[in-house]
Amino acid sequence: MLKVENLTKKFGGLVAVNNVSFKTDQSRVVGLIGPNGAGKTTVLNLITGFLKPSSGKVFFEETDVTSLSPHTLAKKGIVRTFQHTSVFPNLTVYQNVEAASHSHKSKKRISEILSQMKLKKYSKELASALPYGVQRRLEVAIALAVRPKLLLLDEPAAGMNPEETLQLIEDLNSILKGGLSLVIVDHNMKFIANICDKIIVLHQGKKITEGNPNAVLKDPEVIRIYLGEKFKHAGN
Amino acid sequence: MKRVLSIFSKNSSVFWIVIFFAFSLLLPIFVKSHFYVHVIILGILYAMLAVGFNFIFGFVGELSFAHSAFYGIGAYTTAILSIKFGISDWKAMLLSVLFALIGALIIGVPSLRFTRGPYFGIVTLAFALFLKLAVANGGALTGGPTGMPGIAGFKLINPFTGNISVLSTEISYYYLSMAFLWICLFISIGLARSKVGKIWIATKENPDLAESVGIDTFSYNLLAFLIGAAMAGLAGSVYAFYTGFVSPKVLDPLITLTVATMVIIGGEGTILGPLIGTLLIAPLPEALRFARGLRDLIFGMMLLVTIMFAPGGIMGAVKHYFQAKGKSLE
Repeated sequence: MLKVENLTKKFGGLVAVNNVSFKTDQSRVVGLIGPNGAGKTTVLNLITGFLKPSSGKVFFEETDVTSLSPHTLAKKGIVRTFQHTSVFPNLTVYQNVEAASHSHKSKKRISEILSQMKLKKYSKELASALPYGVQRRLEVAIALAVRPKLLLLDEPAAGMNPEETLQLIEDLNSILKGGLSLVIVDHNMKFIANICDKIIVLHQGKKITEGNPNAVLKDPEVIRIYLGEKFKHAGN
Repeated sequence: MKRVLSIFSKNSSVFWIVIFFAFSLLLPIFVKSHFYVHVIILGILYAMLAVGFNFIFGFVGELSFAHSAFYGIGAYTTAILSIKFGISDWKAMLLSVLFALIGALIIGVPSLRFTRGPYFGIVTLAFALFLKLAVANGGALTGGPTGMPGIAGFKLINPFTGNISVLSTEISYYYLSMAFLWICLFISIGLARSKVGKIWIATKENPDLAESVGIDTFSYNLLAFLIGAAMAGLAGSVYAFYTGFVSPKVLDPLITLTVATMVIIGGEGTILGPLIGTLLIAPLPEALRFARGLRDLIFGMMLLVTIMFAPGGIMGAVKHYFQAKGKSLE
């Protein structure tokens, strides 16, 4: 579905993404992990058109979609969420989802999304007045309203407590029943391992390895470069 | 009583528009002084500028300093067509709007695509200043810094009889400009309530998110910019026909600043805000003729007080009041 070929992004002298290639193949849920500054969000920005690559290509459903604008990609079915909570703050929850479904508005669909993301009881509340966890659910609801084929989530579990993370996994599993694919960028290993079919590890802009969660987590290089430190934290 | 009050809160726009309309038709009956009618006409032209400026500033949320440029383009196009080519009917008005639109495309396409916020403001300011300088040094074509006197009155052709009458009285220009203001207002109301209006709100709220849900934010922003420019060009054309004289002063970015003050004080992004702001601000220069310096001081103070105590302007405060009241009634 998604294929990234030799993607490179330079900011002046800094090579933020260095010759990264990967395919989602048949995987429904792909995790993109790596320590801070690994280039995860940059890769996501390059795929979704918020940044233009210095070189390399992005293919979606066998067509070249490199450097298309975000709104064009959204219409093709590539939709993202943002690292920092991103909603329409002064619109109600209902209006948020309505604004996102501007091109194929149907009250039934909006209502379905609201119940799927358990947002029905908030529908008349202003987005800015919602608790953090609910705002993050609203972000996913907004993305779903665009009818994505591929949904890219930028650190969806950031700032969530374990309970909220479990809730998120449940929500994402319910979304997957709708037939779309996910790319998830995150630090949270437990979360990623729990939900992904395939993990891609980035470090300093380069791809270190990829594979199924079990294999990747046991990869000695991944442990040395990235996971060692993380596991120490997890053990504490 | 509750029912009477609900007119204000629920369909306040409709209610006030009917009041404004009756008022606008009857006003000349009460105002006999030529001077006051003159001040009112200039106020109406300012209101057209404000309604147009509200598109890019209020609906989209970008501060454009190019508004005076489009007003000036409209005024100068009319002046040149009338003086150099003897065209002073509806064709001159249409071409004035068209040239304002071309100007808006030239500056709007690159600046809206590549800049936002303060950068957009600076680019549009540079455009406005450049145009003023160019016109002031335009030689015989623009009359240079002294401007162009001798613009003929607007030729109104009666579509039924074919009779031509040249507008010369203040009252005739009052009704002409008022008719155009109403057209601008209805365009504004229609768009604000349409799908386009909702898309503008979403874009203003969060441009990145709007883009990522499939909204072509650039095109919608450009649309708002063009509509505002067309209205400014039309106002400029009416100004030239009415006063019979244009000078580089019609291109002064200070005009934009005055219009921005009107829109902010009235309430940006609302239908009535620009009108209320104009009603409050437009008469000030004439009322404070005896003390020119004081005028700017009062402008500044009003702006400051609004931003500090009513960030949404007067309309924002009114909405807030009724929302709070509505909640307490429940």
